[in-house]
Amino acid sequence: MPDYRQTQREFVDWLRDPDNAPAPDSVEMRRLRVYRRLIANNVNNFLRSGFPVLRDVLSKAVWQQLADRFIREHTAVSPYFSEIGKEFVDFLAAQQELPESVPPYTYELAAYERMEVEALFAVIPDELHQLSASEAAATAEDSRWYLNPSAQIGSFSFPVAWISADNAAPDPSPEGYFLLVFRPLKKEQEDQPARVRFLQLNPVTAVLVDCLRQSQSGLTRNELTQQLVQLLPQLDAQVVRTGVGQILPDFAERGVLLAAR
Amino acid sequence: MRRRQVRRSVGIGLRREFLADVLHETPAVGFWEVAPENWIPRGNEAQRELAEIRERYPLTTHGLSLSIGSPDPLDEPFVLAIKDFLNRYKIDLYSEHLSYCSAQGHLYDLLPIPFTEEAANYVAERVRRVQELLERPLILENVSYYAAPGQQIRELEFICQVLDQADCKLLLDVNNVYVNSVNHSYDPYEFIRQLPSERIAYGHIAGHFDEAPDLLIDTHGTDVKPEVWKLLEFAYQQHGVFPTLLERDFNIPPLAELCRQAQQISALQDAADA
Repeated sequence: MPDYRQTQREFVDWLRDPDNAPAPDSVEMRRLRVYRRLIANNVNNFLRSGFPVLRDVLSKAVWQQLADRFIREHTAVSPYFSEIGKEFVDFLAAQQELPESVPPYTYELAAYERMEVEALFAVIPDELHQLSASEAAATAEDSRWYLNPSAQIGSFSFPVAWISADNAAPDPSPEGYFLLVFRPLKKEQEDQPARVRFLQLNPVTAVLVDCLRQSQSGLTRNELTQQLVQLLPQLDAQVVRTGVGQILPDFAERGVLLAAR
Repeated sequence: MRRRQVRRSVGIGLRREFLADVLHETPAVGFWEVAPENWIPRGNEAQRELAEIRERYPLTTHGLSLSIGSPDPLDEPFVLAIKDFLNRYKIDLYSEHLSYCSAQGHLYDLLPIPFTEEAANYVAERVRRVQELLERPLILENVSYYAAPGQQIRELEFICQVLDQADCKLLLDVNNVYVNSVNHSYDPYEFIRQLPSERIAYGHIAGHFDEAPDLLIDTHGTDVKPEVWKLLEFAYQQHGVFPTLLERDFNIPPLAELCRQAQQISALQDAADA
């Protein structure tokens, strides 16, 4: 290995793990620490802003331990700073076990908070638009419906959408939580930044959303109803038809479903 | 003597903090600079805003994560994503840092490449590959550094060797020269004097933080120091005027104040041209 490679390896090994790796002997400690501080502060800022709830429910010391461990152990592949949070979720997912000091829902909460970021920055093609309830009801018959491309779907055993500093020790639920996070196209007020919303799905709406997610070219109300009738044989076809008729305009108005121009 | 190009232009680093003001007030600024990494994965709104800026102003780019001196393989899909971004917004200039920010994964901060001949060879080869992929010259910035691990040759030699071997351009960051000259005890004027004029594509100027008399930190968080303005004036005398951009990433003042500070670049360019 050339000299410079060796130098880089020692330098970076120390930056990742200053408590255990040997310090490169040619460099003054004060200057080495500048680099460690810059890296730790930068990563920490991105993690804090990406996981505000997790940051809130962990003590400062535990949060710091987790961030340090992320820097020490994780091989981050994304060149995008806005994906440091995604790297953090990958890091948590890869942990065989987390320290006892972090709550059991840490990974699930982080994954959920990342879904919010992904929904916020997802690109929604210009061809898709959001209808009002009355427009949706009027055109429900002939429109092709698309799942909002910003939609992120996750299933959790903890009630991650309701965790906060005041509700920091919830129990897991045996049925679990099936959550959809999305960015509506219509804003509540002009000039307000786009806000991300979430929706708790039930077994039927979960299947409905899944049908739409799998279709590249959207589904008409009839196509959707037919698919659901096949996928939910335990339900009466007429019940499914009525259900779709109610859910479609509701989901359209919320912006979960979008129509093509 | 080579005829001096007229290259008067003043830019400001574009930040989300004042993006709405730029669109609203359309101040007289020669060009804006963006980090592609901060815009590529950011959704519809960002794309729309940037397209709107581009309709009214020239844009340059200043990347963060190319990691040209990294021991990790060059991230070619990433370079192609940059190329798409440049093409999409019709941007000619792409600059990056003569530095590395990853080694067995990204660390998201600029680390000092060991100043050795071998390292310069290695970097130059990677620069050539990037230029081939981008079908544009790469412009490399002299970075600020707080330590020079494994140094075998002078910083100036290292930079010149990379520029020559890769046949690429230089983004002369005058504040970095000043910061480095204090941190590593050299003469910043002599350093600037010895740079190859013909390779200077454009310049940066920014503020720094005095952590200790012998340790300045390149924060982009304060106004430009008088010593750095003097050094820019000298750089213009030495190399002719080049387009120059004011960087401000923290403690950002109102846009009007930022534009006033950028006017100082304009005044120096006027004086150098007179």
